[in-house]
Parts: sequence; C-alpha cells; structure tokens
Amino acid sequence: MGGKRGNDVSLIDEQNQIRTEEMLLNVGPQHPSTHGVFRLVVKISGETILDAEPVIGYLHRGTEKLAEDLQYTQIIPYTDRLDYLAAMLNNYAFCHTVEQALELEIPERAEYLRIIVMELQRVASHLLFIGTYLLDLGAMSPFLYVFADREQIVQLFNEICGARLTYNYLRVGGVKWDAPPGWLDKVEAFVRYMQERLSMYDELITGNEIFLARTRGIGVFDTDTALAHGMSGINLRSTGFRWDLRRNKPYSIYDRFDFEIPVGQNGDCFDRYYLHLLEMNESLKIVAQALQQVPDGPVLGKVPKLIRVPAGEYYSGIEGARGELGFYIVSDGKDKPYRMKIRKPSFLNLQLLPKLLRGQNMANLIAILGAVDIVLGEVDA
Amino acid sequence: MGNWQTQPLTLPSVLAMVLGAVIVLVLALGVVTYTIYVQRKLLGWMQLRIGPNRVGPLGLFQTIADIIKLLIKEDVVPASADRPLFLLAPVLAFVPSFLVLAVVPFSAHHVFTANLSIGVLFYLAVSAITIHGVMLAGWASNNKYALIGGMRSAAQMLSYEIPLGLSLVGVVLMAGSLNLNDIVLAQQHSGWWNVIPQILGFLVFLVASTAELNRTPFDLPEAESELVAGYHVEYSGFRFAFFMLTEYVYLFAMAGLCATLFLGGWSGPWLPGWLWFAIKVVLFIFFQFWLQATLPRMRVDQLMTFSWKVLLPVSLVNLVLTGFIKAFW
Amino acid sequence: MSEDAKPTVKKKAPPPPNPRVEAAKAAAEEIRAYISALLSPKAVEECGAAHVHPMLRIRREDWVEVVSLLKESTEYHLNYVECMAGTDYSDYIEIVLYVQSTDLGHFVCLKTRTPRNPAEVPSLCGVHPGVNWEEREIYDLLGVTFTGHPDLRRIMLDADFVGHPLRKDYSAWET
Repeated sequence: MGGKRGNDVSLIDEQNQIRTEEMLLNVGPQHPSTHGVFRLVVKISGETILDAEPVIGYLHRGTEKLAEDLQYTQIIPYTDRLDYLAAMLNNYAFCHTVEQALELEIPERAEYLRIIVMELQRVASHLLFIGTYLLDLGAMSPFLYVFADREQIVQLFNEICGARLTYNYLRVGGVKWDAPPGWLDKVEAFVRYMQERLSMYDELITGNEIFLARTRGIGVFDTDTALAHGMSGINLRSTGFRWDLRRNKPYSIYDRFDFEIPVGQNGDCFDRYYLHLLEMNESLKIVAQALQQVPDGPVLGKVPKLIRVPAGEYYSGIEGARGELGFYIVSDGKDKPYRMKIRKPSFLNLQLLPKLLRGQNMANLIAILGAVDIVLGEVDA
Repeated sequence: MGNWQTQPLTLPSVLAMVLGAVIVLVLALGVVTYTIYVQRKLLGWMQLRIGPNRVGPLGLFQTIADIIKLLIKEDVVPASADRPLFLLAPVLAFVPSFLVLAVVPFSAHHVFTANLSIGVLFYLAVSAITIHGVMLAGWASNNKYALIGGMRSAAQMLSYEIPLGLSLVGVVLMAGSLNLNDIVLAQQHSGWWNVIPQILGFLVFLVASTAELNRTPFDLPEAESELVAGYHVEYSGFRFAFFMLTEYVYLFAMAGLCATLFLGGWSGPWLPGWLWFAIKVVLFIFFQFWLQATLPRMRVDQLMTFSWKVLLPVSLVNLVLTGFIKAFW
Repeated sequence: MSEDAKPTVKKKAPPPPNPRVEAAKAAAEEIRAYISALLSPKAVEECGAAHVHPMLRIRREDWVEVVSLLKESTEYHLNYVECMAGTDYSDYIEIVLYVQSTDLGHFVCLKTRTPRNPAEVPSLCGVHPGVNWEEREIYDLLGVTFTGHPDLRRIMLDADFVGHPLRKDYSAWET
C-alpha cells in the first residue's frame, strides 16, 4: 500500500523478511462470520494476523443487574435470551441453582422431560454449529440441511411449550407443561431419523479433503492452556481432557443413562467439529433411553407461588451446549436475588482467541473463531 | 456468408458485423439472465429449498426484476474512493468478458464468430485484462476487505492462468492450430473428442477454469464469510451489476471454451450443431453449480500451493506426453 | 429494590444440621489448617460453608498467595476456576472465586473483601490467566480495581461510561 521507504531502500528488514506495512482490519460488528455483533480488531500484515483484539459488549443487556429486580420465576425468560440457541439448557441451569438452594424434590416425570428437552436442545444447538461452521468455511448447503433438521426439534419444542426459540419452559421444581399426547412418540421417531441423518452428515462432511485441509491442525491448544483459561465444554474436551459435568459432577438424573463422553486428540478445529457430531449422537442415545424410562406423574413439584430462597450463596454449573453454564446466586432471603452472576462458557472460551489467532492466516481467522463456537447473547449477557 | 471476414470491407459487411455483435451480446445477456435463474433454482433444489418462484411463472422473471432493480438504484461512489479508477474498474472487467465471446464458435456455420487464427491465444490474452479491472476495483474502493479481495483475486487468477494455458497447449498440439474452428474440425476429423486423449489436460482445465471463474471451491476473492464480498464490496447498483455480468459472461465463455476445446464444440451426431454446443455448455455450467452446492472453500495459501505444486507439473507432464505422441505417431 | 439490604449471616443453623453443610465446614477447616501451616495463620479470616461447598475468606493481602498455593499444592490442586463473581454488600465488596480440582475433585469457594472506596484487590491473572476477562468485567460493572492486571479496561460497557451498574447505589438517572 504505497509503502514509504524513504532513504532506506531495502525491501528486507532486519529479520530477513520482506518489508510490509501493517493494517488494522475491523472484523465486525457487522460481519457475516462473527455470528452476531462481535467485533475483532485485527492487525494484519499481508494476510498474516499479528494481533487480534476482541471487542464485546454490543449485546450487553445487563441481565445480572435486571435479575436483581425480578422474582425468581420472572428471571427464567431472561435466561432464554442468553445463549439463544440453547434456551432450554439456560432455563435448566438457572432452575437447577434455585432448586439446589431450596433443596427441592423434582417429580420423576419432570426430570425425564427435562432431560429429553435438554438433550434435544443440545442436538439443535450442535446442529446449528455444524451448519454455520461449514458456512463459514464456504460450504452453503450444510447450513440449509441442518436447518431442516433443527426445524423438527423446534417444532417438537413448539408443541410442548408453544415457543420456537425462547421457550421459558422449565420452572423451579419441574416443567411448565406436560408433554401433549403423542409427543413422546414423535420424539422417538425423530431420534431414529436423526441418527440416520448424523451418519449422513458424517459421510458428507468429515471426509471432505478441503474441509480437512482447512481444519486439521488449525487453532491448536493443549489441555493446560484450556484449563488455565477456564475453557469448558467441547473446547476443553477437544484437547483430550475428559471433563463433562454430566459425568464429573452429575446433576439431575444423568447417572441413570449410559452414554460416552467423546474427547478429541489434537485440540484442533477438526476435533472440535467432530466432537459436536459425536456428542449429538450421545445426546440422542440419552433421549432414547429417557423415552424408555419416562414414568407418569406430575410435572411440577410442590413449590410455593412466591419463591423465597433462604439467605446464603449458591453456585451450581451444568454442562451447557458450549461448556459449563453456571449460576451464582446470593440471596438475602427475599423473593428476588440479591446478586446473580452467570458463568458464561462462551465468554470464557473466547478469551483465548487472540492467542490462537496470532501468526495465523486471515482465512484461518474464520475457521478458528467459528470452531470456538460462541453465541454473542451469552458472551455479552 | 461464412467467410465474409475475408472479403473487402463494404457497408453490408460492416452492418453484418454490427448485427452479429449485437446478436451475440443479446444472446450472452439472455444466457446470463437464465444462468443466474437456473443457478438459484438448482442450488435451491440441492439445498432443500424452492428457489425463486415469485416473479413471473416459476419465478422466470426474477433475474430480470433483479437487473431492473440494480439499474435503477442510486449510483453510489464512496467519498474516499479513487473516483476515476472506481468508475473505470467495472468497465475494464466487463469489456473483455464480451470480447472473448468473439472467438467462441457457437455452431458449425460460425456466422458470428471471428475466425481468428490465434483464437486460443486471444481468449487467454483478453480474459487476463479482467484481472486489472478486479484489482483496480479492490484498490479504488479504499476498503480493506476490497483490497484483500482484489489482491487475492489477482494472485489467484494469475496463478491459475498458467496451468490453464498449459492445459490448452496440449489441445493446440493435437489440432496443430490455435484457431478454435480448426480445433473443432480436427476433433471431428479424428473421430474422438479431445477429452479422451487429453484427459489429463481436461482435468487440469476443469480445475483451473473453476479457479479462473472464482467459483467454489476457489471463490476466495469473494469469500463472503471472510471478506464480506471481496473486491466489489463497495459497488452497488449498475456497477455491481457489471461485475456480476462479467462473472456470468465468463462462466458462459469458459463453458464455450471447454466445449470447443475438449468436447468437440458443435460437432456431434443427429442433433444440429448449435444444440450440441448448448448441451455441452449447459453441462459445464451445471457442473460448476454442482460444485458450488457441495464444496467448502479452500484457503488462500492452499490454493496457491495447489496451483504451483500440483496443477502446473501435471499440465507440464500432459504437454510432454502430448508432444511425444504427436512426434512419434 | 431494597437499597441497603444486606444478606444476613451465611451460616443458617436449622435444628437438624445438613450433613453436607457440616462436611463442607469440616473440609474448610482442613484447608484453613493447611494454609495456616504454609502461609501466615492470619491469611484465612473466616471459614465456613457456602451452601454445601467449603468456603474460606482470605485476607486481601494474601489473596494471590493463597490462590496460587492451592493451585500448586498436591493435596488440593485447585487448578480450574469455575466461577468468579463480585458482590456489592453496601459496606464492602466481596470477590468470590469457585475453584475446582479437576483430578482430585475438590470444589472450594474462596473469597476476599475490599472496602468499597477505593475498591482494590490484587489480580489473579498471574495464577489463573482465565480470570482476565472476569476481572475486567468485575472492574467494569462493580468498579473493583485489580492491581497488577495486565489490561484493566471496561469490557461490556463503553469506555466513557460513568459509574458501575452492579453497585447497589448505582442509579441510571443520576450521573
């Protein structure tokens, strides 16, 4: 770009590199691949990234502050809007913390319905990851394929709670509605259908040479780095570290199901993609088992109309779609939390991004950012 | 009428030339219009969608509506753009795309085809001018994404020009002529299309032409997910339409070139020549759309490596083999 | 919204004591003994249970040392930060850190307190790089300055935002 060379006519600098000028590139906040309003200020030299500075907060709604003025049941719809691709899991993470504080008994049927919707939600969220990730890498069709499949899950959720994206379905002590007649059979049919589709996705995508070339060995980090940076979920497991709260700190009734925790080997983007695929399969296995075991009975436990959490502080985390999703609640014994803090997996996973990007090619930016799998609603909360 | 080009320049022949140019222009525009429509329909079907179906029966007028929209849009030139270059770039990109159509023989009675004795060379030389338009667009937009897109484009098109050219040399050797008409006649004469003896060259051509056309999986210059829209990110309205037109006219021209060089052009049994030509062109274009629906995008460094380390040696091997065969048979 | 509400004493003492809470308190005592032996006995100001998890309140000056000690120790190896939060309790601000040992299974709640003005806590970035953004967020929303933080800027709000919204005396109307 019309480099000013002045007296120094050498095209080569001290490190024997061709002299170039650096350029600041603003990726976002409106950019097709930042998956929301996320801005990345990238310093590039040619197409090599020298430094990257994530700028977040464009979607900050102050959920934590708002929650201080809301009763516990009123907070649930706000949690829908954190990770809006996995609203059921957010609902659960919040309800779970409150239930822990109240030491509530949850009816069996409610527990099973929760497991079913949560794992379906995980499938829906992971499907969308695969679609958008492939779209980032330039393949358009998978995006539309996964939307067709996700649509079926969304339809199932629509039938059970009347909403397609922000469900507000779970309640402290159970779930809001029982499953409509025939719903469980539909889920069963869907599980069978989806298992076939997953093997199709596997065949279509996993072996693609271009895809492999773009994701293998890209964005690698090791377990120590991941742990030190508080990463969780697939980002942590892709490094080969088996850490899934469903297994390591069992909550709900996950101890009753037989499922694997797939882990990666190299901690690269390909592992992160492939783990999404494998995890969907495990989630479907859990749903299938839950469908076999789901008993009849009430779906909402005996919960006072106005929930008052005993004074104290409570933290509990669950395995969300993107990692450990936790709620920390300080209560002063009133019907509203004194302080609510959300442990946002996307937020923490995103921290490592500048380190991952340094020295990479511009084109890898998208591959790495996409594989970290962030949802800005959650990052900014 | 076939050899009016060799006659002295008279008023009727000038009129005929103008008429021929206009007819080819209209033909190309029609082809482009419906290529875009077919692309959207095909991609829609491949992606479990419907595709355009609102404007006219089966959405047949969708592209026309789009063109009208683009033409009547406000003409925006960014304030910080290099204005003369910004205005010049689409023209520079667009004119060569039509020029190359002059040498593509559409049918056996090549009425509207310049019977140039250096047809292949002409095509390569003229199509290379478009790179300047693309680069200028990237530069003049004064936009970083456009700049990166333009530079990528230049690097990519230049790198793939070489294997593309070398893959054509094999065909030229086979026919002993650079004239596209002669190449078709040679294929007709020998009894088999070049795609069989020149299979290596054909494969190189297929890959290199896809890259030349900036189509998936080589659509880096316009990599939406990385560069937003690449070199034409600042263009809108009819200037943007020019770039789109360039892209699709080249798709048509490249399909024509492929058909002529490797698939026997207008030659073929039973059906009229123009229909054979059309079928072959459609096949090539369909292949491009099929790729677009299937493959992810390559990375820019992999793209370069692929051109220089894979395609170039392969095309050279092909060239040497063809030379030997020609010399000793 | 009760402006100066303050949670009452943490330890609820119901007539039948919750065995998990008792276990947590015992575990906290053990950790306190461990820290006292290796650092100064004054490092732990208070120990008890945060619901069913062991809780230790660390003196602000020893915050980094204690967290670092527990991270490096072979007995506890609290190597993974699960949650970091700050709470404004009207007369002091509390920083809470939930740390997990991924191989030994310990899960401990560590706390430290700082006066509200000036609110200052030593940064943990050197021990757990992952708290970098959490500390920035706490700085942004609660106005706690983390001394020694490599890059302490606002993260959620604009750089020119005035005030710290999560403070209990913050009002959006008076700036």
